[in-house]
Amino acid sequence: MTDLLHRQVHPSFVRDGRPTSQAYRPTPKDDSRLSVSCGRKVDARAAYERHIALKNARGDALRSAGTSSVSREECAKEELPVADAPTDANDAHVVIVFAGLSHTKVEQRAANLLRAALDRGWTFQPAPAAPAGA
Amino acid sequence: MSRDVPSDPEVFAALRFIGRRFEDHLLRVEVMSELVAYRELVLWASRLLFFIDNPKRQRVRLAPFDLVLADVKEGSTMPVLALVEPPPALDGRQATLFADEWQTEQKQLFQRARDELMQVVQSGKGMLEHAFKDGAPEPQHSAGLGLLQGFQNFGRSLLDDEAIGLNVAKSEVQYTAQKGRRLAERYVGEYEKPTTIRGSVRAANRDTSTFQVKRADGSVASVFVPPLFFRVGARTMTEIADEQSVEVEGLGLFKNGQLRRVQAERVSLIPDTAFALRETPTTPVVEQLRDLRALKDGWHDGEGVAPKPEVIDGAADVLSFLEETFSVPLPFLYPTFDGAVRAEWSGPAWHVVLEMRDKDAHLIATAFTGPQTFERTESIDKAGLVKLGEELVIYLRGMQ
Repeated sequence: MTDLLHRQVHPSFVRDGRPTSQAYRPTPKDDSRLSVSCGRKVDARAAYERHIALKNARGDALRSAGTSSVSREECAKEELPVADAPTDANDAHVVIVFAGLSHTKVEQRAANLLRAALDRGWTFQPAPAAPAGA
Repeated sequence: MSRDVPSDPEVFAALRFIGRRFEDHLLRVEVMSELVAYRELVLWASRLLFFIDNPKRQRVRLAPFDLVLADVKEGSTMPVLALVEPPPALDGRQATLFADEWQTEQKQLFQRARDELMQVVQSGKGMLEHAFKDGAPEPQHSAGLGLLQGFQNFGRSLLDDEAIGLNVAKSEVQYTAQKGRRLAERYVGEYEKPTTIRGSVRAANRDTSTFQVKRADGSVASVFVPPLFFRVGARTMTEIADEQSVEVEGLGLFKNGQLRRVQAERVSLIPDTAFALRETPTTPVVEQLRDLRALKDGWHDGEGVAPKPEVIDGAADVLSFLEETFSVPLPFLYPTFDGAVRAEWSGPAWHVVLEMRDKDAHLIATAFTGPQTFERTESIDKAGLVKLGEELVIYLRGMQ
């Protein structure tokens, strides 16, 4: 186990292997809290598997192109608090808190977290699906 | 010999500085130049009034005009100015020459000029109409030009959203630099404005200290570089060569809304280096946009508005323009939750985002180290895209 925080990145947020910095920015429904999984409790693969086992409101499984990770230290450097937020479905659920920041500052923090994650590289990516008939 | 402002001086006018910079009730020293510019305005208005009153006169002799700071009100954002009698010259002659006039005609002339200025600022009319009507005698016309120049100098230290309230006898009219420019444009068809341009050098002429700058939109502006500038600055004219990319800051002369000339205050050479991006996509823009076109509403696990076809078409045009005009490198393209197309670049020092919607594009640049951020929204038209392109180039090259 590590001190990393694992983030699941939606396939539409990945282009040529590079995630958008939006992947490290809370969405409007996230209430300024970015969901990640605690690396002390789950590794990058397990975080991915837990995520795709969840379903959205329509009953469809959540999608992920893989796990991208930042450290608690990198969050602290951006002055972003990290708080445990366990749920029934995920006891490793943690949030990175962006509350009280302007839109531009949110963009800046997200870009810097992405930079750290890109320098680290993907911490888990599922194997490409085998071509049909293989 | 010391002179004291009378304990209860007759107030001539008060200038109230309006804007966010002045909400802390502190008067920045950089705006004190406005007091000097206001004094010049009153002098030009006095000359013009004199020639209107005396159409056959060719010259005017004004008494010394001593405008002093009598008080500062409203925190420290409202200097109160008083007119005091001229000092006697060392040999006493000046006092004799103007003593009687001062008490009557000249003082009244200055006060009328002050009041007429209020009217010009409020309505744009008044004495300037006399100066520029057909058949106006030359001294009137020249004084009118001087007054317009005075308006160009007044308000130069203000930011776009700031104003100066001219207060006389409980009445206030608000002056902005934009109003001054509109006056000049109305009466002589041209105005001056602090300006920054970027482009490549054409026809540099060391003998005349001039060169031309061809901008990204194809327009050409002449740049005049005062000789002394090069002694003060670190640059020499020899560094300004044809095809060199430059940024010029200075005072722009606009005619019929078009920039014609810039008197340079700073010239920076823009290195013609390649864009040094940390990552570049391998998928062409056309294919990236095709993927975005295939998205449906709810594309992000049931959430997210799909970009409309017209937004994607618009983004294609924007990116094509930026590539052709500024050689902006290929970006990574992504959808946003609210249906925009988002381009991202990671330069050496800045993360740069361009979000394109129906009618406008929003640029956000954030520094990787340090707190600096930059934001700009422009409409998706040629003028707007040129401004965005110029900024993009700066941030992608890490020149800020």
